[in-house]
Amino acid sequence: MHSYLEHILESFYAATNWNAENQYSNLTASSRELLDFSLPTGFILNVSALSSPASASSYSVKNLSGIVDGAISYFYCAPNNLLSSSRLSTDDVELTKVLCGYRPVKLPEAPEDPKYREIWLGGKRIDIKNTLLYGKLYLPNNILEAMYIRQLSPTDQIVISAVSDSRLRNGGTMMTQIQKNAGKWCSEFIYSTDEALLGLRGLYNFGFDSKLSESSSQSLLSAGGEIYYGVFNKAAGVSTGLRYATSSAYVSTPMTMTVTLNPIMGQLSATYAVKSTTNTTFASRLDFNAFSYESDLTLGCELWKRSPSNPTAVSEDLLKQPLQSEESLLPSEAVEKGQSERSTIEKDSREDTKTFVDEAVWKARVSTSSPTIKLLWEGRVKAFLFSLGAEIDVRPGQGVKTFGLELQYAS
Amino acid sequence: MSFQFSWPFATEDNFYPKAKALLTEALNKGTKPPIIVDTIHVKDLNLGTKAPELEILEIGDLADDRFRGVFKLTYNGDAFMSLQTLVEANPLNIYSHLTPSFTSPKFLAANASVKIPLTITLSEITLSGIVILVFSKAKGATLVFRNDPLESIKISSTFDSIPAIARLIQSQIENQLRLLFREDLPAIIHKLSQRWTPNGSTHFSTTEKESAAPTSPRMKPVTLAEVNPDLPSLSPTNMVKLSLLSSSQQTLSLVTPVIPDAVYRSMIERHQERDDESKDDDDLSSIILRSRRNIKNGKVRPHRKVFDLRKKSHSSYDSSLAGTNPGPQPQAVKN
Repeated sequence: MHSYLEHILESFYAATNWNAENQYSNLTASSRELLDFSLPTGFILNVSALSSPASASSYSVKNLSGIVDGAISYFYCAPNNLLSSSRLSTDDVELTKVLCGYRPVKLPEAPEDPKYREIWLGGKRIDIKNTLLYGKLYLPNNILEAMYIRQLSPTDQIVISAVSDSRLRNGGTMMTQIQKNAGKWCSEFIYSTDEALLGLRGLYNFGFDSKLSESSSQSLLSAGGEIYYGVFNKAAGVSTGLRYATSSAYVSTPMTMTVTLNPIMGQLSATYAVKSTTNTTFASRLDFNAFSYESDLTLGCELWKRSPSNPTAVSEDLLKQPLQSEESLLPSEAVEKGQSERSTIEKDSREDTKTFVDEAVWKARVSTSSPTIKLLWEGRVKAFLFSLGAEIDVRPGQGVKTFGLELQYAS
Repeated sequence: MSFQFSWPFATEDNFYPKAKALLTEALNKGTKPPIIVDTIHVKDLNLGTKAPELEILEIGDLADDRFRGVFKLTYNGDAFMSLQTLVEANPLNIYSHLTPSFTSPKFLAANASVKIPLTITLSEITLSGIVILVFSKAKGATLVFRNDPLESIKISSTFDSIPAIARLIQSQIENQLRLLFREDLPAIIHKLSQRWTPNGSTHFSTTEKESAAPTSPRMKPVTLAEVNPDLPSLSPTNMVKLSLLSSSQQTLSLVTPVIPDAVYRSMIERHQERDDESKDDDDLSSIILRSRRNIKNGKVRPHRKVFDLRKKSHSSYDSSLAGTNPGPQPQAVKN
């Protein structure tokens, strides 16, 4: 299950037309969600609220083997209508967005003309740059997390994240990312104060023409790479990756194939994730190391439980629908016409699929390197999102290794 | 006074497997640094042929069933131990474990893990330290190091040809060993000693049954042979002295036997006093010591004194300090 921060970030990026899928670090996002999902440990309760259109707060309490700790987090975004259109409450949030699972690759789009973001009043520009502020305080450990995102233009973004913790060396670390996302390519510069790590990442999409506003093809081939160097610890790292993804059932089954290679460490990793039916997704990953001849095969799957929505719910949804579309249209007034058209198309498609309602998802994962099975059940009960996970050791005499339950409520 | 060990003391056939198992358990206890990605196996363990030297500095408590003493331990022998484990070779993988996940740049594949088998041999261990040993028949033995005993160690590993990694391993292992001496070794020795206590294992139960059956388990006399069966038995004169010493503590006897080259705790001050008076009074530390003692004894009321330190040169200060501890005189260590 995504944390409230991830959900807010996703909503922020959606509202500002920032395609985070176009970053190299998200190249293997789909298989990662299916194979490397994290299980809740202990009992976790999250309560979040969008207290005003511009700010939100979240509180969490965690009980792990008798030790209770908690966290308080606050969010603020500017301009203040950015989050108002997103569905953040657990009551009506789209489960496919908040429960981690297969993510169909979002096709890159031509960047928005910066002129559309300008607002003039009396000969002066009065528009504010899109900004998100986040702070989280862990109690009683007194760890502070902070993040600051500022979009300088539709293609440029600065992300500064920091952690203050007395147990860390120098009392904390800070990382700055300068990202440039031009649709056809996306580059990132990273600097972290921890060991003075410098990093450069880039992703290039083949066969993508920025002049065409609508993508002509429903498949995407991307290639990218990353390079890091720690100035203090003199540690360096390189990797390159290739991704091929189809996102439409008209072409073939939606699937994502990736190959990543770390030439220094001789690590080759190939993943394949396929949405075989509307309710099932399978993913596999083969890791091979050319130096140590170590290999590992990981398999994962997710099964969605979807039930036909009852007629009253449909009528309610239909009643709700125009209201929501109005809301979603409000902030997009300034956005170009093509996008409003797209939103109506999305709305139509949503109405088509409305006959089925997501209820819950089962996820499982096995690997040849460890004798354990990871099981996760996530779903919505009333207005709560439940996440129930266990790691089971299949060797005889071994039982459940970890078990956890997470509850999330957001209004 | 010193001990004579018959070294190696491993009489039991299964001593080495047991010691290896205990060491493996101790080494894998707690959180390991992220560079070590597998359990540490003790592949080889040998205590060598040279015994450590143990010098008694102070005996704090001596009774039938308990003993507390402070020793000076020096070791410069040929014991060795080899360990085997897997280490992480990618520095970015270690980095991604150490840096907080919130500010970690989400590495895609640059932090790929590569595990390399590593064999480390520890040899030429030089130890020197003050040891506090507490033995109680009911609870077993506890051994604590007062200072950091590790003086030097030679570490040879698979990475000896790469000096940067060899240096890193050397420093990491020295730190781990210091931790081992401080925390884990007391626990291991305590566990091992549990077998020699009456409620421990059955190893000595047969010998105890053969001996004259005492009335209650608490009153069971513990012999030194039980503590260390290989130790040559003490000479009768020493035994008489020790029994006198122990009875002098239990009775109102005014006579305490004299043990050569030993200072009783009750005599420490007098001993030092005698020393100090024989010496020149210029020494700063002796002035402070004496004035403190006088205050304690109520002889002199405290009053402010001004010492002019500029007149003293450092060399004279050092030599006078060294003079306080003449060679053969045993050191008194306060608990």
